[in-house]
Amino acid sequence: MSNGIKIQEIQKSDRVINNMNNSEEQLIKKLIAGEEHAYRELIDNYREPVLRLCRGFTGSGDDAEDLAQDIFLEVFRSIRRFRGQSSLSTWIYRIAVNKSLNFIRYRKKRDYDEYNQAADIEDRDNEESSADEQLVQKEHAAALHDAIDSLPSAQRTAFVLSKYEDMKYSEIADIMKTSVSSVESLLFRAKRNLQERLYDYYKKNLQ
Amino acid sequence: MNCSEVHKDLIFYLEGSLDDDKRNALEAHLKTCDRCSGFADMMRGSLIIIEQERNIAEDRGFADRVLASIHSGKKAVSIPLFSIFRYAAVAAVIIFGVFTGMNIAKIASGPGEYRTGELSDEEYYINDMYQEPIESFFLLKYEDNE
Repeated sequence: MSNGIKIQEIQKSDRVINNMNNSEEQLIKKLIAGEEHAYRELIDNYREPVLRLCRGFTGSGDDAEDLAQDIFLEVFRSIRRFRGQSSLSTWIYRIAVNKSLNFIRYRKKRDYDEYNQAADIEDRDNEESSADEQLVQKEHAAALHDAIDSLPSAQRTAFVLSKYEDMKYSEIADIMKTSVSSVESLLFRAKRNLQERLYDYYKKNLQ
Repeated sequence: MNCSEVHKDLIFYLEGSLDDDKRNALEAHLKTCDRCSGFADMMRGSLIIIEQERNIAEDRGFADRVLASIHSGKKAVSIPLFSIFRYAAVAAVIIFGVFTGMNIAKIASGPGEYRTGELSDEEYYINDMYQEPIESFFLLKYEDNE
């Protein structure tokens, strides 16, 4: 990591960063300067929310970890382009959402059945003592994430931000660059659709 | 309230966002309908799964792994010359492809309006119709069968 402070870049960032508090501003300057402890500070502040979001989108702990790493790399790579027109957290969430949606698209291209099957076998190997109840729980979680996955992108994003990040409508609207009423409508439809998909799964299991 | 109405509102009931009248009607239905109360249990389980997944375990090595990725991948990302060379390489491949295509087309189409009827060595091998026209191919097959 480069330790040389690029004065011009920092002066430039001084002009554009006007929408954030002092400590955030200092952190961004240090990130632009490439200071390692600043990188660690940002990761410490955002690791949990970013991982939660990734978990909501991917439904898998391993995928969430890989995706979260990618998101932080993207944040560090792009920090010079941050203009301070939104808060740092909103900006990071936007990157996280975009990366997650791209990841899901990529994952859909893979043989999804094979992926799930491999995960099941791995789970069974790891937990020989796993009770039927745990297997049912895993199947249930897989069904839940299949249902989340099947939602249109905007509904899925609103749902994950609301349920996994516990965000207010206004915060979701900010991240998705839309109105609060649109978020309300997206969430309403997301929940109805999710319920419908899960009911299909429930009916199959009854037979 | 009937079953399909329950299926529409169940998630809102479980979240506690239904008004009193709807909530009472839905609860009354759940008491009498095994299928809907089973589905309600499943939906409740789904919301619990989300709650569980929201808990992120402590992981002190995460920052180290991200920083290690930065160190290992930094060159490929941050050196602008890399992308310049990459674009130059793509352009070179395209130009090479176009010239190769033009030369092959030139060879295959022969000398144009001043064509003498004689085949060049390359033309003979590229265009296999000169080696075995389709008519003689079928003719030979026919003769073989006879």
